[in-house]
Amino acid sequence: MKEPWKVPFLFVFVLILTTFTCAALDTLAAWGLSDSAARGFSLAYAVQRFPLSVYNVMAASVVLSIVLLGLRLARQPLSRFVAFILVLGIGYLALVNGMLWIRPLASLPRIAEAPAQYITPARFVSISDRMVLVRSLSGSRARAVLVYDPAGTPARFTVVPEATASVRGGDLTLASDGPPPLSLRGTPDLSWSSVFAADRFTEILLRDIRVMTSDFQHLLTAARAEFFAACFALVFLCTASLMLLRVTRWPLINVALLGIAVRGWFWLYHYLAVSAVPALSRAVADSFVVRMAPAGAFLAIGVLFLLVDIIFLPSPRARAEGVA
Amino acid sequence: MNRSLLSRILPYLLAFYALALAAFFIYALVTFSAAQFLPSVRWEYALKRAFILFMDYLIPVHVAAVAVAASLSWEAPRPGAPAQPFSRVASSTVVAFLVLTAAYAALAEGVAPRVRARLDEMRYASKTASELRRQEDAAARQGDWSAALDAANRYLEVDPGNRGMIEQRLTAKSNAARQGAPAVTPVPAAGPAVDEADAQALVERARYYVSQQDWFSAHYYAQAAAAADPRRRDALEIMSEASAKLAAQPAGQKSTPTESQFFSLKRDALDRLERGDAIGAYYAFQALHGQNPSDPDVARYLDQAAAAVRRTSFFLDEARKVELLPGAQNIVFLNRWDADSAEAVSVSKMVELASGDVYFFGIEAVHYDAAGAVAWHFTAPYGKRMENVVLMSAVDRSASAAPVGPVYLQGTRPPAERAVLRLQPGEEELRVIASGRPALASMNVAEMWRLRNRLGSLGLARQALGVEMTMRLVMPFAFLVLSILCTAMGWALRIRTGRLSAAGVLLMPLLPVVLALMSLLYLHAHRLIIGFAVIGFGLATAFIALAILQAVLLVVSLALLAGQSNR
Repeated sequence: MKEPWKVPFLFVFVLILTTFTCAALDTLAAWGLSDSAARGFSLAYAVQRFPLSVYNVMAASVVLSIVLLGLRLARQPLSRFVAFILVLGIGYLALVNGMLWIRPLASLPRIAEAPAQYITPARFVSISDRMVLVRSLSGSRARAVLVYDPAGTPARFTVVPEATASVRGGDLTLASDGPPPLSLRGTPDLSWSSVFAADRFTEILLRDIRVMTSDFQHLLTAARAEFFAACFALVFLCTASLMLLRVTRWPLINVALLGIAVRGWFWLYHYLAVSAVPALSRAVADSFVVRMAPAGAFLAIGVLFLLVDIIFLPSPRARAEGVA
Repeated sequence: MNRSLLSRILPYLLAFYALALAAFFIYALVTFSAAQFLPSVRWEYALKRAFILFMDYLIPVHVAAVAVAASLSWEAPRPGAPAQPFSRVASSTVVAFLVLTAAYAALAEGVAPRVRARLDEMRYASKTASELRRQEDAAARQGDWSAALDAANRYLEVDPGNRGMIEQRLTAKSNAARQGAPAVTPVPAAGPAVDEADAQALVERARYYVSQQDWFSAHYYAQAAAAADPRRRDALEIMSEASAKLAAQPAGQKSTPTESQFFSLKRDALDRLERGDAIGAYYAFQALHGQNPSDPDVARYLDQAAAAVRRTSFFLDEARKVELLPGAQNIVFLNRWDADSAEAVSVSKMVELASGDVYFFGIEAVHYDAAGAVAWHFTAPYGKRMENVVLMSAVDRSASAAPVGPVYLQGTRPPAERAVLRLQPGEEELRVIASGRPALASMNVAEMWRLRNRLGSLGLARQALGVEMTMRLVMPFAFLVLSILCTAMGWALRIRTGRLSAAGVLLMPLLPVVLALMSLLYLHAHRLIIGFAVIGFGLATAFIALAILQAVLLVVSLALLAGQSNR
C-alpha cells in the first residue's frame, strides 16, 4: 500500500489507542475524585462512564494523535501539501465526528445514594468545616455521633446518642432532636480524593485542556457552526505545527520544539478564553467575534506557521534525502 | 563500528547532573528568604534545598541526558564493516541503568527524607527564632529586662552564633541585674543540683553539716544521697535524725524574732515538701526566698520543690512563653476505641521545643460509651507532655493561686487521673495528623508503613498514605523504565548528518523541560492507577497491580530499545 493511503488508517489506529488510554485514565480519575463514595468500581460503572470520558478527552486525543502521526511522517516523508491536507482532513473529521457521535452517549445515570457511602464507623469524615465520627450506622440510623466543630464554644466536641443520616444530591445531612440537638448538612470531603490531585505543572496542563474541551462541548450544543470552525482552527494549527519537526537537523530537538508548541497552544487557548475574551467583550459588541476570538487566533498562527514552512523550510523529502 | 553507548552516555549524565545541581544551588541561594529562614543557615539551606530539588527533578534531568547522549552517539559504520547489533551496543547501558536505579532508590529513601526533615527543622527553628526575637524586642521596649533576657537566652539556643542577639542579651542581663531582681528564677530542669555527685560524697557532706548542727543542710544532702543510692541506710538515718532535730528545735532559739519566724516557716515548708505537697512547698520556699535570697537552704529547697512540681505539673509562664511559637494546629484524633467506649481528643496547637519539651494548647477530650452517653468531657487551656502522658495542671510561678487545669464539662475522673491525659499517638503522628501530605515527604517508606498501621486506630483514613507509599515504590521503576525509553527515543531521533549545530546547542535546555512534562504526566498516570487500585481494592491488590504494570512497562521499554536499528 502506498504511504498516503496508509496515513488515514495509521491515524485512526493511533487515535483509538490514545483515546482509549486517556479515557481509561479519565475514568479512573473521575471515579476516585467524585464517584468512589457513591458507588464501587465495577464493569457496569466503567461501561457507563467510558463514553463520557471519551467525550472529555477527544480534543486532547486528536491533538496527541496528530503529533504522533507527525513523528511517523517525519520518518516516512510525504509531499508537504499532501501530508498537510491528509492530516488536516483526517484530524478534523475525527474530532468533529468523534464529538458529535459520542455526545449522546456521554452521560452517567444517577444512582440511589445512601449515607453508608460516605460514613464509615470509627473514621472521621469532614463535612463543611466540621468532622463527624459515627460509632455505628444501620440504614439511616447513626449511633453515638461525635461532632467536632473547630469554632464550637465552650466545647468543640459534641456527642449525640442517635441521629438520622440522609444523602441528597451529594449532600450528607445528620439531624437529631437531641439532647443535644444536631443539624448538620454539607458535602462530605472524602479524604482519599486528594490522592488523585496532580502536581502543580500537570494540574495546569489539565486545567488548560479542560477549558478547551468544555468550550468545544459548549459550542457543540449551543452553536454548531462555531463548533465546526473552532475544531478546524485547532486541527489546522496542530497540523501546521508539524513543520517544527523539520526546523533543525536534530530530530530530538525538533520533537522537543513540537512538544513545547503543543503545550503552548493549550495554554494560549486558556489565556484567550479566560483572560483575553472577557477583555475583548468589553471593547467589541459583536458576540460572534468575541466567541470566535480564540479560534481566530489559532487560525492566524497556523497560517503563519504554514507560510514559514513554505518559504523557509526544505520539503520533507528533500530533508530526508539530505539526511540519507 | 559503534562503541558502547555507555561510554557516550556517562559523560553526558555527569555533565547534566553537575549542571542541574549547580543551577538548583544558585536558585536556592537566590530564592533564599530571610523572612522564612535564619540568615545563619543560608548556605546549609542552599545545599540541602539544591539536593532536594535535584532529587525532585532527577528523573527529567537524567532522561534528558540519556536522550541527548543517545541521539548524538551514532557513528556511520565503516564501509564494508558489519554494524554491531544494537542490543550489544546498548547492553552495558541497561546494566548501568540498573546500578543507577539502585543508587537513586538509596538516595530517595535513605538521604532525601532526612534532608527534608532537616529543612523542616530549619524552617521551624527559624520561625521560633523570629517569634523569640519579637518577644525579646517587646520585653525590652517595656523595660521588662528579666523577660527580655529569658527570650534572648532561648533565642540563642536556636541561633547560637547571632552576634546581634548576643549583644542584646548582654544589655538585657546588665539591665536585669540593675533592676535588682534575679535575671531568671533559678529553677533547674529536674532534680537537685547535686544529683550528679556520688552518694558517698553526699553522705560525707551531710555528716559535715550534722557536725555543724546545720540540720537543713544535713537533711538536704542526706536526702540527695538517698535519692542517688536508695540502698544507703546511713543517708536515711541522717535524714531521719535531721528531720527529728528540725521538728524538735524550737524556733525561739534563734537570735532575733525575725530569724525565729523565718526558721519556723522554713521548717513548715520542708514539712510540706516531705508530705508530697510540692506546690505548697514551692510557694512557701519561694516566699522565703523573696525574704532572704541569700539563704542557701531555701535556695536549694526551692529548686527541689520546683523539680517536684514539674513531676506532676508545669509552670504556667513557661507554657505562655511558648504559646505564640509555631506549631502543628487543629489536631483531632481518636485516642481510644474499643467495644464499649471511645475517646476523642482535639488539640488546638502543639509546640515542640528544641529541648525536647512539647506543649499543648486548647486541649479537649471526650470519653463516651457505645450508646453515646458521655462519661467525661473536659477542656484544658494548657498541657505539657511528660513521657507518654500530658500533664494539664499549670502552676503560676509567682502567685500561690490555684493551678490552672482541666475544666470538666460533663462527668469527672478519679482525682489521680483528673489532670493527666494518656495520649496514644506520638508527636510525629500528631504532626502528620495536623499537616497531612507535606509531613509524609520527610518520611521513608518503612516509617510510612509503620504510621499506616497506626492511622486506622486514630480514626483517620489510610488510603492517602497507602497511595503515597506505593508512589514512592514506583519511583525507582519509573526511573529505570524512562531511562530505557529515552535511550530508545534518543537513538531513534539521532543526528545522522554532521555535527551538532549551534542552534541545537542553544535549544538543548528545552529537552529537560519537555521531558519533565512527559515524566510528570507519566507519574500522574501512575498515581491515578495506584489511587484507583488502593481505594477500590486495597493496598495488597495495588501492590500486585503495580508489580504487573511495571513488569509490562519494563518489557515494552526493553522491546522498544531492542527494536532499534544500528543502520
